[in-house]
Amino acid sequence: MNNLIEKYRRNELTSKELLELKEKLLLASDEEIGRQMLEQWRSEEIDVSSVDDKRINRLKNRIDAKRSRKRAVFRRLVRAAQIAVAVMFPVLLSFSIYFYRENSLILSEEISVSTGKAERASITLPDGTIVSLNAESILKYHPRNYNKIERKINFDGEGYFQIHGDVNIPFLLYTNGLQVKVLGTVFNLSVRKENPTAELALEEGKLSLFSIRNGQSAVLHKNQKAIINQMTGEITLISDENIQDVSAWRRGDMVFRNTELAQVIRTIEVNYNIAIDIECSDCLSDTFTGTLPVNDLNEVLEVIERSYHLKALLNGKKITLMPEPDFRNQEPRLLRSQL
Amino acid sequence: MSAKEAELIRELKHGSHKAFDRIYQMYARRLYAYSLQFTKSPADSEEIVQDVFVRLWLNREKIKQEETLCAMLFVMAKNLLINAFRSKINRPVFEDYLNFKNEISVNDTPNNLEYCDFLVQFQKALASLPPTQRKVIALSRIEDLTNKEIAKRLSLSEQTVKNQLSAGLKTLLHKIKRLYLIQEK
Repeated sequence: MNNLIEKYRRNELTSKELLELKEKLLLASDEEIGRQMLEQWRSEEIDVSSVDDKRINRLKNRIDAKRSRKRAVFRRLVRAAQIAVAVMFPVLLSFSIYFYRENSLILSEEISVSTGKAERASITLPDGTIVSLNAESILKYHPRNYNKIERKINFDGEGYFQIHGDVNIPFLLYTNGLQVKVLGTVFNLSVRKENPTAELALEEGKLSLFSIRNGQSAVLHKNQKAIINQMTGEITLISDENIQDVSAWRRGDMVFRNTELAQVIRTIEVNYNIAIDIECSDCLSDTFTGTLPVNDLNEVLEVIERSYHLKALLNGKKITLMPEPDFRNQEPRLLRSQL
Repeated sequence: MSAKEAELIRELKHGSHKAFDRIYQMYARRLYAYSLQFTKSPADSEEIVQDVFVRLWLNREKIKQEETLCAMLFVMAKNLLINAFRSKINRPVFEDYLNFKNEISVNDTPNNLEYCDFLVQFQKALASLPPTQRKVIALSRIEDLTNKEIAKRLSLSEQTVKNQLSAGLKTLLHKIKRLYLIQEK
């Protein structure tokens, strides 16, 4: 058999000898064959002249990749990580549970932001929408659902909305008797119970408005204003090139254009958190055009005094505006000194 | 065993990459050449060399200091070599190869046709045969199925398989011979 294996190795086997070798190998054990191979391996000079160096080097690279130095380091790191995980797991788990519960507690609660009299606030919602709240306003939303399939908020008061543009997730605003649906716009909305009308002024983009009371809906475009009758729900659209005046409160101004004095007084009351009594029979329906500051009551009163020939009198937190002649020259600067 | 080799083994046991590289350079060619004599296939031989050296590295800490590297490498390769040897010798194509060699060396030209070169020619010639013959030969010579198994798989009679096989092989060997003789000239 030895001779036949020899011939096989040297490619000198004939077909007949192959059959013979096959038969013999079938009977031989691996140990027997192995012994003969070892003998050859040990004693023979094996010709390596035809072995390509390139092949051997390429093979070395493959072997190095398999037993990679990095892999050894990596294995050690994995081991260390496994131990660390085993030790830290209970700790991490309890932390996770704790924070998860805390978090879901926060998420499940409705978040509300509100402002009192003479206060203003600005809030950024999770989607990047910025809402500036004017005095005596409230905004509520559910952080768990917000920005999932829709962006839904409840609102009351006056606010300036800069809605982050997102075509896929509509922004829905619910307020007393109104639903406002937008995709991305900037608008000012004023819904105050004490006012007979709500007002929505659209500065940019487009939005749709739905009046729940009478089922009327309207689509607003840029520089349009919707006046909503809070009793009937009726929507009236008007175009207004000076639409930005409406949100002037954000800049510290109150801008009025042909506004009835009664409305102006109400705005001043909310803004300064004061009560104003006005004692005149016919001036309330007069209109007022002008800009009043939101942080200087003296100047506000002075403007009103001059425009309507009234005199302001301070009595505690209450201000009384009286016709001028009665007070002229008697208590000229009372108000200013007391404030 | 030389002191130098003992030192190499010691270093390898301590995880020296340098020692491993030295050992590879000393023995890889020899192991490759020796494997080739049994596998008759460069790819199979590379596989054996790779397997042996990767295992040598992974088990370096368990190496016995008193063994020579030469013996150690053989022991690691032994089973792979025997398996390759047994499987090669029982491949029908190997028989075809020897037949072909006998045939072309009739006129005493020293033929140094390598088995793997023969295989390449065999595959090439096989592709040019008619479909049935091609299928029968592939199943018989490469997948080592018996005539009975082939008959069942191809839904042919055993006699048809036999006929197709002998006719196909005859054409095949003829084609290889023609190709081979053209190349030799």
